[in-house]
Amino acid sequence: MPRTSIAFLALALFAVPARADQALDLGPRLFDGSAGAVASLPKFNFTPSRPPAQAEPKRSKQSGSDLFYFSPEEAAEGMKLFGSKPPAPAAGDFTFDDDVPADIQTQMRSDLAFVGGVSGDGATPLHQEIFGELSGAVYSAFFKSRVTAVGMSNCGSSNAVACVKPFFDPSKMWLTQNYIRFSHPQIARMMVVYHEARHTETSNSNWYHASCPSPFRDAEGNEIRSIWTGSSLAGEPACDSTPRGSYGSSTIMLKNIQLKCTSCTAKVRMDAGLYADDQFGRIIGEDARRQMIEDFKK
Amino acid sequence: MRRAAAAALALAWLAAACKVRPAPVPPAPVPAAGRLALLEDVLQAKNDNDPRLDSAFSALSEEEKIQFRAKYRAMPAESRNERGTVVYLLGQNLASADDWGFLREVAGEEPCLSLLACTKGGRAGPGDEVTLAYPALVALKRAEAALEAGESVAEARAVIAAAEAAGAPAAARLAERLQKRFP
Repeated sequence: MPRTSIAFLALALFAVPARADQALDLGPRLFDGSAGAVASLPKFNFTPSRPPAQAEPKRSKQSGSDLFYFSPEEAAEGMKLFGSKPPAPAAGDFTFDDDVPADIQTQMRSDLAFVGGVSGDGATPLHQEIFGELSGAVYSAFFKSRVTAVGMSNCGSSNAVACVKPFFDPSKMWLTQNYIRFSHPQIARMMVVYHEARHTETSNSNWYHASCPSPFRDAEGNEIRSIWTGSSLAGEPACDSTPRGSYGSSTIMLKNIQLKCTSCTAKVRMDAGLYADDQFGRIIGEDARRQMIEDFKK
Repeated sequence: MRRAAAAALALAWLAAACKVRPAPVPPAPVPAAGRLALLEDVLQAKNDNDPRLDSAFSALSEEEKIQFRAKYRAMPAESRNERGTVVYLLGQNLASADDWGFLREVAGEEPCLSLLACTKGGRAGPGDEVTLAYPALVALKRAEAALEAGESVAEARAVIAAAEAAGAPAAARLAERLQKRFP
């Protein structure tokens, strides 16, 4: 209930006539604790006031079919609130909120150290454009120039691992307990973290997702479903129409690790390929897909 | 004089003895329990980029492979990465019918429905399809490598068929792609 309405109702209560004979016995009665004495209220037609313009806007309903979703309008709201600034040079380390459990902090730092230690033999053109060389230092700078703080949230789904809420703080990444709760290959956690890091870019409308086509089928004609929930993705805002969005950039990162990482174990390269091939399914639009396929050959 | 000569002789002998280089000692075979302990250590570290994954598990003996398979079966089904790591290491050491039989067994496992409890919860449980099918996917990647090399073709096809029949979505999709690629 808006505060102004509550305040008005409180004022109306104080305005009850002191004398019973002046009271209109039409409204609800108040029990004031004294025997026999009953105060009554005048009839009052309550009409809620309209919320002020600056009240919290309606948030995107999370369908539960996939992971956390924010709309183009919410991305625009983030831009309005926080400005369309490009990622700043990595000034320092990101911070964890006090409520981020120590084991999640340790795992995330360990995972980032893992990515921060990789090196490779060249990088594909799209990787060069988005990240730069395949190098741990480049990946670290990419992350630290975008994410300044990490907090805890449920990210709108019991299946979520991480999210960014651009309308709240576009430089903050939220993790869920799922980050360490389950047994994932290390590259899977990094895929999620770098996907979300891309969502911090207000200057690119936070790379909000495109709606998947309906029906949404793979090359074999099978319906593409969310790998997180098993739900149909047809019509859901869970795709990218560009190689440069969150799905595209994390796929490009993983594919480069699969193909060009020289400091990775064969297991890491295999894992990167498994998750990249799956993420590639979220890229819609023939041009974008063709561009990525060609990129991976270089 | 005699003493001096004897001392000189002793010194000469000692010097000659010091020049003798010991015969090269062959590396001691790693006891089976040693590699199992090493596996435990690698799994505990939770570092998929541990270089020991590439260097410390080659040429596993039959005894070691039996121990690794037992380790796999003893792990909770929800330990997807750990289980997949064991499959990965055994997949680097394929020699016998039993080795391929194990990959077939993994590929044909009942689908894991949820990372919370593989056998419960329906598909609404937490977990992405790739992680849920991870051990089977690792087995399939090994089968793919065999087919690319034109080796153990029948065994590799049996692994793919097992994954397709088991029906874990991500594994079934990869199996379908491999069936088309290697008709």
